[in-house]
Amino acid sequence: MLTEEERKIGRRAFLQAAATLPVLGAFGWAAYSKAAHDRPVQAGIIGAGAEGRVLLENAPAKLIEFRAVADIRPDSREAARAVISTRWGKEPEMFPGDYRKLLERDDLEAVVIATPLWMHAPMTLAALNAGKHVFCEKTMALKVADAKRMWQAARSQHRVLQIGHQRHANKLYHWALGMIKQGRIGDVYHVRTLWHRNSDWRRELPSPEELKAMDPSFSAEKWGYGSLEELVNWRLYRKYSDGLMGELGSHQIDVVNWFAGTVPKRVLTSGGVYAYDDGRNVADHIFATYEYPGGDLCPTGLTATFSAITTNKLDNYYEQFMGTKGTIIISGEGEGMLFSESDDQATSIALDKATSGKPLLAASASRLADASSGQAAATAAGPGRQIDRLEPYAKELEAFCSAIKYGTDVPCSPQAALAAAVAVSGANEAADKKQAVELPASLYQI
Amino acid sequence: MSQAKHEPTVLQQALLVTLRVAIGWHMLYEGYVKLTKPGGWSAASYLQALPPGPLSGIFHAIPNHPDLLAAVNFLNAWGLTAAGLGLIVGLLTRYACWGGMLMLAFYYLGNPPWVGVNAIPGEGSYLYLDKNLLEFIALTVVLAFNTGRFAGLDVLVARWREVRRGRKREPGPTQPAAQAN
Repeated sequence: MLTEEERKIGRRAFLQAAATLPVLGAFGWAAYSKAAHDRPVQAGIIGAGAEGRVLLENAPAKLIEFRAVADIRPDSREAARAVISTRWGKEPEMFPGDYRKLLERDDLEAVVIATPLWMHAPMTLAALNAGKHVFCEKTMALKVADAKRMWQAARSQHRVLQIGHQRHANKLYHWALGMIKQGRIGDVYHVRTLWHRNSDWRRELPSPEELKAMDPSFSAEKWGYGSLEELVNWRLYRKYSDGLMGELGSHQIDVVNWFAGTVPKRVLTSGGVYAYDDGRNVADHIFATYEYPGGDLCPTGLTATFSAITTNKLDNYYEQFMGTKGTIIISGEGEGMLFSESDDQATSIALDKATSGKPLLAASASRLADASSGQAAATAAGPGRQIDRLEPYAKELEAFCSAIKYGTDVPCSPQAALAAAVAVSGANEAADKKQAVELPASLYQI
Repeated sequence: MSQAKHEPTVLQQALLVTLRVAIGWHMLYEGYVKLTKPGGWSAASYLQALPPGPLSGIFHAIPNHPDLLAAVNFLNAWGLTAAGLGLIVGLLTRYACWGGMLMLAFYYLGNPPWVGVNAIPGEGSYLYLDKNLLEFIALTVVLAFNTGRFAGLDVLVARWREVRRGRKREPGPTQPAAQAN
């Protein structure tokens, strides 16, 4: 029989012994929280066509894990399934019909949307309202008002919204901007952008029978498309697309906006269906001229032009910043050229990944006249000296994950993407009206 | 002067135990990360990168011997985990201190911040004293005070040993555990 004093000593000893045990519980909780926080972002993809699969194939697998696929096309779903099961070693859940079913999965933190343009706004709004972070391909939205709603929803829902203008994640553009800020090419009063191709911009139709065999319930009409042709070639129809301005011009005008630190105030556009009278109602040639106020490129104002043609591929695509002391050309998203006004020698600023990882400033033998075409410039830089055009897709998704996990800034914000959408919409309106269209400051704000 | 007058106050004991638990937390997490790293953890690349120093010959040779490397990896990951657990819960605290100090000595000597040693840079600036040595010194304090007798499972271990030895407890204020309170 223990005495009262002995019992007291026993109680005291037990309390002393157990005093630090709760720390183990705290450690367990902390380690679990850290592991949960550090796991890859759990994501779904809505729209697994060509662009969606580029994102799947280049996504940083350690940072983002795709668990679900929504697409109305069975062939796209199956292609996405193959990529995901190969890259992540797990079968994704497939959502053949309504994408909103995918949004009901509570374990998904984020969605990547890579669908035809007309669906960007409804899908992004539904995803944000379901509490998901959203990476949406460019252009932000078919209508400026919808783009504003997307921005507003991201803000009110406190969710990340990133738009896939991938040049923001391309280090070549950052280096070029750095050189411009250093004054290497002086004041820039003109930016020339172009995207030239020699093709009808059509995609081959899959066999309807094969699609039906893969998914008997498949129907393009059920989801608002006039036909299988309109679903596959949605870029050629204004109901779904902003045409060449949206698919190509939005990228390049976005770069001008970014570098200039301002947005266009007026646009004049010419264009039409010149070469391909095949039922499309978006222009196959378009030429837009934008007037900018003074900004980071020059104090007073500049003009930027964009041309897209589909009957000649000379020059391919590039952005050319023409300054008072020199010119910078960023060609094909993978190579930069710097020309001084004081001589006719071209200087490459292409990335040499194998060595320093810094922009290379070795003088090349290219003469200005030779280097004015993208092909000649690429040859001058030499093989292996261009950056991988697909790398920015990985980088932009890396940044998306970082924004979700750590609250860092996204490379292309809703504000920047809205500005590009305004420029696209304004250019198409100007082409329709055949007159200049004003782009007042109110268009760029919410 | 009696022994009782030299016993730390409750606050001092609490601070010493906090120091012990904090070091234990750090070591346990270092071990846990190594044990749970996807694909497994290995010290090989770190050992190879260590600068020329007092033990660099041994450290550089370890990765060339797979069995030795496996043993080092095992002892490092599990040693940190065991020492961390021991320090947190106050079980076999002295052994945990010695084990932790041994590992810290290796870490310090592997990459010593000495003049003339091209040490791998950390996030701060160090001259002779770095965080490994500081933690080593802190563990000597924890060891010297045998903090397991203030708070920790060592209290029960001590009592269990007493019972096993058939010793009759001396109730009252002369018993260390009771004195502390």
